[in-house]
Amino acid sequence: MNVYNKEFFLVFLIGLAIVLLLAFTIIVFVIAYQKRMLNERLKREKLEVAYQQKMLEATLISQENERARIATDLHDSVGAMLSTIRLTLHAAESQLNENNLFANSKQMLDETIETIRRISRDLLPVNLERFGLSQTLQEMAERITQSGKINVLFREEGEKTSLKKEREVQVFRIIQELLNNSLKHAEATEIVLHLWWSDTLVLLVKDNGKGFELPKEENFDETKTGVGLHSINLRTKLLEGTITIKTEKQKGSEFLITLPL
Amino acid sequence: MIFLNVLSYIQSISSFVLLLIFLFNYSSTDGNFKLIGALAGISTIANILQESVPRFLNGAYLNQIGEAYQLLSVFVISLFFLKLNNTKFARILFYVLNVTCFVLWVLLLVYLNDHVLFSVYSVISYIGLNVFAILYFGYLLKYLPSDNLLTVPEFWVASAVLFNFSGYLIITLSYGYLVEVLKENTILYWSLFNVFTIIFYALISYSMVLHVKNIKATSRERL
Repeated sequence: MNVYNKEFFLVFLIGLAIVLLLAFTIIVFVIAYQKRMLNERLKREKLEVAYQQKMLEATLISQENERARIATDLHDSVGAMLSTIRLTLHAAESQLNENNLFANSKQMLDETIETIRRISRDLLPVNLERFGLSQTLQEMAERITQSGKINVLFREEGEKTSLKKEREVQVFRIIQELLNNSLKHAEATEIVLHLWWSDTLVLLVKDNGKGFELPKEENFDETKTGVGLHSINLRTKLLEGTITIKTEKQKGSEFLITLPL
Repeated sequence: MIFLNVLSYIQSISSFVLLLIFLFNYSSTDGNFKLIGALAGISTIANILQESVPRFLNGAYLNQIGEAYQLLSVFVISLFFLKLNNTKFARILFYVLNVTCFVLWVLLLVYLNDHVLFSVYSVISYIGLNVFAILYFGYLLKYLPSDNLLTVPEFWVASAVLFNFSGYLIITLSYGYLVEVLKENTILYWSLFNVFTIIFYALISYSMVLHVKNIKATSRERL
């Protein structure tokens, strides 16, 4: 190889190396840039989810507080006043002869007092704080069964774990909403409420009602599915749980919710 | 000479392997990767012709086969990228590149073995394909796929194109000097062409395997 050839060979090799290095740099840059941007996007999405979670939590807590306030007002003020009126009426009844009229008024008043108690109990589950989730659900199941309209079978398995108060309220609200849905819309004659306690809490609420059309959207937009399902979904998300729904027209529906403990 | 022959055979085998991968998984490839399969087919036919024609025609038409293959490969690869990133600029580039290459190819048929014309033809086609690959990288940066890029088959095709045609470009730019000055010593330089082609088909074969895997995985998910 003569001098010219050697020089050319060197220049050629350097040129080739530079161009290949450039091509390689472009490829590596694209990979690195994409990774960096994806990481940033992931971070942003995590922040957004955390922010939404906080907002949701704040909304639900303020909703709970508002319910508690209304329940207390109903129980302490309206309930107390109605009870006083009832006593006054009772006293007046013994002095007057219009027994029939008084009896009707008393019955209406009793019903009103009972309604106020029920609303108050639903709004503020005092028993939940006193006796815990299992006892409250057991009572709720018995109360609904005693009403005679529908039979609620409550079952529980596994070793119970104590939940934080806020989480317990959310679980209770989910079950309350599911039972309400079955009572109001499903035209069911039987509801099965089953709780499995392990590393997770698995809730099964199943009825033999008429079923419903499952929404296509995973987030159960409240304008399309109604407030109930939307609220159940929100609370499940807040508890970082998952929800599986099976429903068939005229064969009932089944909600399986898994919540981490 | 033996070394160059061995490289030449490996190069032929590499495009044939890609063709086999494509044919065995024909139903699991989408339209875009069928183009890559077509490229492998064209390359295999060109290789067979380049091996067999000189035996019968005493070396004639050897360059014409290569030039025709180059024209078709430019068309197929640029169409592949155009389908991935169909912007106005890409469309204009596609038409300008292919029309220019076609005109130059016709001129090469008229002025047989014109080195300068062949260099111009090659340089334009390699730069055009590199621009397509870079445009596709730009598209990836703009739309950021959520998958790891190393699992995106098209990314490997673009990398192979950029790497291969950058190498081709440098060799081609030295073409005039190689022919005029080095004369019989050019054989080593030409072997570089084969090395780049082998790497090119190896990368494209990998992308084809990835593509088939992805398609099969997607079909399984649907089931």
